[in-house]
Amino acid sequence: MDRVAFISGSGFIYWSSLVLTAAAVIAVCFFLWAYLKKGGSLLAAFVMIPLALGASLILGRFVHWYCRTDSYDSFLEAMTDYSSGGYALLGVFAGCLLAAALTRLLCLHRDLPAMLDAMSIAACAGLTVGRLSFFFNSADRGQILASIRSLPLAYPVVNAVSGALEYRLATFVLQAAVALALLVGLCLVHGKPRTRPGDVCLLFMLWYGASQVVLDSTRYDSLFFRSNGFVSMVQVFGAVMMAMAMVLLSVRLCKRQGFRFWYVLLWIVQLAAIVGAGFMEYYVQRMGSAALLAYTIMSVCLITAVMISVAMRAMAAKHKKRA
Amino acid sequence: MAYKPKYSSKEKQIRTAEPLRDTSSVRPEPPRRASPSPARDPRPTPEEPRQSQPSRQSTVQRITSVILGLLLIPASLYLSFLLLRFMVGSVGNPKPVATPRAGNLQLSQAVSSYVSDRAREVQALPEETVEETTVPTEPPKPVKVKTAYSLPPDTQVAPEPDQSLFGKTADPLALETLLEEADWFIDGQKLYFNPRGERYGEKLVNYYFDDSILALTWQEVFSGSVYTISEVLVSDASQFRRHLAGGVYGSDTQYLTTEMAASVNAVVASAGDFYRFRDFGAVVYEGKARRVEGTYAETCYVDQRGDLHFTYAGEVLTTKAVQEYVDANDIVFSLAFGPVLVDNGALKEHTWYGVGEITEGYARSALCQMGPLHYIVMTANTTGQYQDIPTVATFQQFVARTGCINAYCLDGGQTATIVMNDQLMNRPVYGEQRKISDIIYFATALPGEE
Repeated sequence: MDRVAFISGSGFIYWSSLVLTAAAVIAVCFFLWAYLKKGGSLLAAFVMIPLALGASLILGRFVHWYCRTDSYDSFLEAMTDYSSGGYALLGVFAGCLLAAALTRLLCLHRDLPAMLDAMSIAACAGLTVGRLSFFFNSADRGQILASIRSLPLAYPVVNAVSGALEYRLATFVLQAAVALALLVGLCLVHGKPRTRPGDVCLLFMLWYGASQVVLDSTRYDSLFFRSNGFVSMVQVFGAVMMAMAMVLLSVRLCKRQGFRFWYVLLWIVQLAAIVGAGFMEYYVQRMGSAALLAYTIMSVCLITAVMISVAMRAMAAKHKKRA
Repeated sequence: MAYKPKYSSKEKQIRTAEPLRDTSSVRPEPPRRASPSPARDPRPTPEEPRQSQPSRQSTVQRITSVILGLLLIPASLYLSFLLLRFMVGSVGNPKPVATPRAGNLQLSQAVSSYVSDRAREVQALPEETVEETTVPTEPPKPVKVKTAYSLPPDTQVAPEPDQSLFGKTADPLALETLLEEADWFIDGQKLYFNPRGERYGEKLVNYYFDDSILALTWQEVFSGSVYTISEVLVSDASQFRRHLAGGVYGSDTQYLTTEMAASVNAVVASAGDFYRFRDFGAVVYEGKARRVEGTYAETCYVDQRGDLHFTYAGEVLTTKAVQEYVDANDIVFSLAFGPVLVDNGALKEHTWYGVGEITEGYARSALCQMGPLHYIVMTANTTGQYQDIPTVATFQQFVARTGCINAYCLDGGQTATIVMNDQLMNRPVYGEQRKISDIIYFATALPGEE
């Protein structure tokens, strides 16, 4: 159950709210660090921050309303009453992207890729902290685990109906761990002077997208499109993000080195890996007991696909150095 | 063809050597845009009379930036603070949760009345009856009468069934004895279950019987498919319930049927209509019309007496119309899948239906009403050597054999599952359950040990 941190006036302040707000603060700090380090405009940063926070709240709620219309009496109620109800992380990403785009349109800072780089790092930092809110609520619902009863794989969740403790896969812990690893990796890449603006964002899209395709599949409370109840919205967007980054890196490689026939082999391997991951998602939905096997194969497939793109980026960079 | 880089290394060399080369032999480059550079000396020289303009622009830009910064940064900080404070109070707040296990006053009252009734029955037995008996036989059993038990409508979790009353047997004699013991509870209703009937596999029958519910689950073969049938009689309509994953309408969560059945202490549970998956039909929960799309689907409603009602495609199209129907008929909840198989004893034939695949072979599931507070839930699956899956028409033939008065198709495919005592009774498609959003279940009304 959701744990109350303290009572303020007539309302409760929950621990999960505090953790999520702390995550937002940490994300803002990381954004400022990453953005200003690369010569970002202070003015643009301070315009972007409230814009991103506000847009994230609104779009986060909008996406949640879209997926969970039944949870709200009306659209107006969903978008005006924020005292209770859910938020979707995809809306938060959309809000940040919108804030960056508006800042670019206002000509406060013209380097959109640099802004997105900083936002990617901020997103990882925020996710690392924000996902830990599951310690204080019953939001994290993965598959019930019979044999494992300790972190980082399992965490007791109180069943909202019966009040019984259930040891379920701690998806949020895994997501936090992935975000932390990604944060460290992206900070290292961002710190390199030769890193091209936008590369951090591309790597974020690759790795975060791939990780979400697997991890969101393990959740019991995923958000779905209204027209598709099988593959969650996060999985779809994760796959799209990953595919976009792959295409961009492939195009960059071709531009830098010219087209070589063996690139086709790389693309075929990537495509095969993605199809393999897709099939394992199909498989795990029908054969839940083979989840470990399915998620392992899915992870291997996606890591292969992502690593090929990372190698493409490195090849393109090498050519640049030679030039 | 290899891609030519935008700026080749040759061009770069030319650019760097530009001041030294002969310009006549090289294509003249377009004039570059002057960019303001803070390192540049702002004072104009006689050769560069225009250079003073960017410098002035730069100064103006700087002043503008400082003014904007002085205004925007505090405003931004204040706004960010407000938004973060707002987040503390709203983001992560829990949504309204399910009503947890409630102290069940009605149950304790029912138990008290039951105990006192039993005591009165025992006291009423004439002692002479025993003394006059010449042949030593068992003492006559007291005639049991159904006691009215009920579960409060607002509680989510039913009392725990007594585990010692669950059992399984393939012995027809034991089953006949069970039915004899339950005769007072069956109260003259005709069961579809036959202790000596043909059954599939090990012919096991799972059963549960207490003073508020009788449940029998077994499997039969029909037309190449294995039918899992659970016949249930309850003493009160409140024991026939619908449970949504997460305990509230519109919840984010999806669970397995066994998980949901265990969380609400179901004696027998069946997957429902998977209301989160599709938008057809009229969804009524806790007596309130929640979502209505009545153009294509037929909807099954369960009223406060536990009777099934149906509306057909196009009959009720608005939330208001459904709510009026709900109020007029004391509807508690609905199931939105279909089609209707039997309505008031009459078979309903369909050549087309807006939801699901009715003319193709598919794992099927149905809810049937046999009589007052008397139901069957069934599924048709492939198991072992029986690998045929029925169309709705074939499924309907089997449903008709049960003699039910009303029957309605629930969500089939991998969703179709029947659970008894938290154990899966049928073999779902692919051999495993899937996560779904809702179940219907039958619960005991006898209070469990707290």
